[in-house]
Amino acid sequence: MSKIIWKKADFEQLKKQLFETYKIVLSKDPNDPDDDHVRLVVQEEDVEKLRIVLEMISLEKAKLVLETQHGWIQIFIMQITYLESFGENIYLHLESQPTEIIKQPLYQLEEMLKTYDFIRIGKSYIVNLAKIRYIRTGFNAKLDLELITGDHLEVSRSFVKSFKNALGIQKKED
Amino acid sequence: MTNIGWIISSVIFVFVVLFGFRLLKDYMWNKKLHNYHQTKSIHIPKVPALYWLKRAYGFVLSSAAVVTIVACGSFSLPIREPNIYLTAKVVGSQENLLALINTRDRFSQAVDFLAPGAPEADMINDEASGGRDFIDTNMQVDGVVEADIVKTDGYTMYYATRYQNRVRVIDILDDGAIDVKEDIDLGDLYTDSIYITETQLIVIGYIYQYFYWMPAIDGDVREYYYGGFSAYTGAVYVYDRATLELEYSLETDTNFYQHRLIGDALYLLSTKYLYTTDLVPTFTETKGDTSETYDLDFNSIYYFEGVPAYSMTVIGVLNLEEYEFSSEAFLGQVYQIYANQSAIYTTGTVYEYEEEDGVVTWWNGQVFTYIIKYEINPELKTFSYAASGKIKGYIENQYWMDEYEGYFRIVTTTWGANAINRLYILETNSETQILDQVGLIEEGLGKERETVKSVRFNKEKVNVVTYETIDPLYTINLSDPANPFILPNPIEEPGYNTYMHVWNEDYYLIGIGYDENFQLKISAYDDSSSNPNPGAPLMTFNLADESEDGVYQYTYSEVLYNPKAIMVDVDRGIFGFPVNTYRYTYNPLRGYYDFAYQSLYYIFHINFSAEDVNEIISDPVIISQDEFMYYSGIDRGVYIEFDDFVMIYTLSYAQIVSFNLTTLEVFSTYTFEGMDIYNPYQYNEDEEDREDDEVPPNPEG
Repeated sequence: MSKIIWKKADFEQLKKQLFETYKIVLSKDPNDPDDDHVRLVVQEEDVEKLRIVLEMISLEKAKLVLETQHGWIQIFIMQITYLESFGENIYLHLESQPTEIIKQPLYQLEEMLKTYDFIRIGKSYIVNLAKIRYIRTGFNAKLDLELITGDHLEVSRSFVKSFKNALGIQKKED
Repeated sequence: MTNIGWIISSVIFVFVVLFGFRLLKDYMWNKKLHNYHQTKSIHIPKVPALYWLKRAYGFVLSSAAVVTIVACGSFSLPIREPNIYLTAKVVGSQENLLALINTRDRFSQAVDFLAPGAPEADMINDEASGGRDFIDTNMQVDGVVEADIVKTDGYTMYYATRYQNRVRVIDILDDGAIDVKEDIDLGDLYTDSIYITETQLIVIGYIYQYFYWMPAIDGDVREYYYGGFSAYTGAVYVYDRATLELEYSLETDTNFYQHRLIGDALYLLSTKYLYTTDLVPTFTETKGDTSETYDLDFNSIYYFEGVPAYSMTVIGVLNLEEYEFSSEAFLGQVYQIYANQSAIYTTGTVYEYEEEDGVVTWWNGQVFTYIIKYEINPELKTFSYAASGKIKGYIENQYWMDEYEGYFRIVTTTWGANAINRLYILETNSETQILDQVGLIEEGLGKERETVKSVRFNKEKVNVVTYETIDPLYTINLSDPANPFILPNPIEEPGYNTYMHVWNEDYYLIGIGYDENFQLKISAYDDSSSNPNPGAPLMTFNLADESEDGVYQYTYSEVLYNPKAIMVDVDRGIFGFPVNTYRYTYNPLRGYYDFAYQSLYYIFHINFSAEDVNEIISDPVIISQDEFMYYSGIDRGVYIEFDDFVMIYTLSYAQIVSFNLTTLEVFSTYTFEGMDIYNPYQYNEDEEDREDDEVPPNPEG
């Protein structure tokens, strides 16, 4: 049996999600002396599920510190919908915040965000896979991505393959 | 489906495939995306169903278009593909047509100028659905209706009195009485061909005109007529049976020569004579108040190598539902046609002349029959040229032809000392569009100088009558189309049959024709091997009574050349026909023969299972009509079954006699207005010594 301790502030946020998705019940242990924490009782076979949950939590919590024209800012990675390079600037499109302009090369950002399931879909675009709502296929072998914000991005022909890999449609050859 | 139909549906189908493929890819991608989000436990708003509906739009629309095109069949009509005729060649232009006509001098062809009527036909139809039973016109092929001068549905008789330009309409009441309605006045139209459908009365005939040539000499017109030519305006009039109003008419400068009604499709063959300057057929269609006149296009006119261009035959089909007419033409004359529900075969006779240095010298005695086959689809009201062929000999009527299981069988004859009678079995080669010969009998059919007189096909056999002095009735086994053979022991009897009716699927026949004295006779035959007396008819009934001394009688009937005059029903065992009897009785007081003419209708009961072979053909029931000032022979008899009695109505130019066949009594006699019964005393009042009472006999049973 594993024992995980949460901050109570995170509890309400996750409680519903965990129950709906994984039927994991969170509860306060009456034996726990610390009133500020909840305990999670998980069966052995559900540990793998838990790993995802934990990753998700860490992702939700993951932040990036970037330099903008107005100084350094801290951004939740999960807030980013996509990055767009235009000239020397990188436009950082966020889900519920205004777009930020930063001055960091796109390839560096790509490298940084790779682990968070961001994927390059064109010369000047990097998209957060978690923000894609719908994929439209076209007759020209390109893909049109509709994000949850309603923005449309195009996957260039040369990036379709890596996009496929990222979604797990096509197995990586290398 | 037409080429354009195929192209359009193929193009749309490409869209179906493309849109379908796109939709499938969309589904796959989004499925993967969904899976990805699941594994990452990412929760994003669900994709609304509207997205999918929008994406499926193209696929659904294009699929619906293809389904609609295929289902509505708008590209299925017409089926024919005019440009792939191999053996038929397009005339195309007036110059070409003129050139073809000019080469006709190298041939000779018997052109029948004055024969708009069409002879022949077979089976009986009890078409009255739930109504009164009646005997329909004697027709050759089931479901292929042939025109006649009398048509009935059991409740009304329509009777086109020949040469009178009118159709008489006679209602038949429940007690068997008749109610003569007002005639339909056809104007200038002569007809001997009417059809009825449930709602329509169709009259096919011609308007005859004579044109005089008045050749000018030195610019002056001669004062006397110098020959001329005749022209027919062929016409089809369609009347509404309820109102007797003219609904539709088709008029053309050709002469409707042969026709058949199959369902709602009226197939018409007409002859266009090429004497006038108008070389292409012209049609005028009138529907209600609107009238349209048009010419047949030169590209719809075909010719065949070796077929002389004396005249042009127009084949067309009239859709009686929509009143739409379509036609094509080919150069050459058609005499006889055979039609079933999938094909029409036309035949024309060609005489071949010897040629020396391009100059026609003499007829070499060779007679050929040119056959052209059209495939027809009565449901779609279409026809298309299928194949043609040429065989030796000539034919005399439609019963000499038949199609069975894809094989066209035809019996031909020739004349003269070396007359050869032949049976051909032909098959359509759809690749070469030629009627290939599969089987042939050239020997053994008829003795020396004998020519064919009548033919009747019945599935895997055919009966052929040949004649010169005695009538051999041959039976030919056709079960193997490649090897037909004549069965031994042909039936021989004096005289010959002009028409044979199959009485039993396999072997019983009734024949009607001439006896050795050229008087009418009917005979019953059994051509099976079980016949105890092979080589002879089972029974013969001679109509002329030669028993009285000093009486000479001559009998004649239209049935001898027109089988449609026969009222025949195998199931009911009825065989009736009109007979004209000319009776000469020697009057010793006056020292010369008294002449009497009788118009009679004979009804025989036929029963092949009678115990005594001499009772197979019963003694006839004879109905007679009064004698009138002018020709008044009985044209037709109409048989109508009521609940508990049967009526026979004999129709003539002047009179209708209603005869109860159950009680054998005359029910009523109706004389049309203006008809004077012949009264011999009217012209012989001063003849004191007149003794004979040759008044017309009363109708008798």
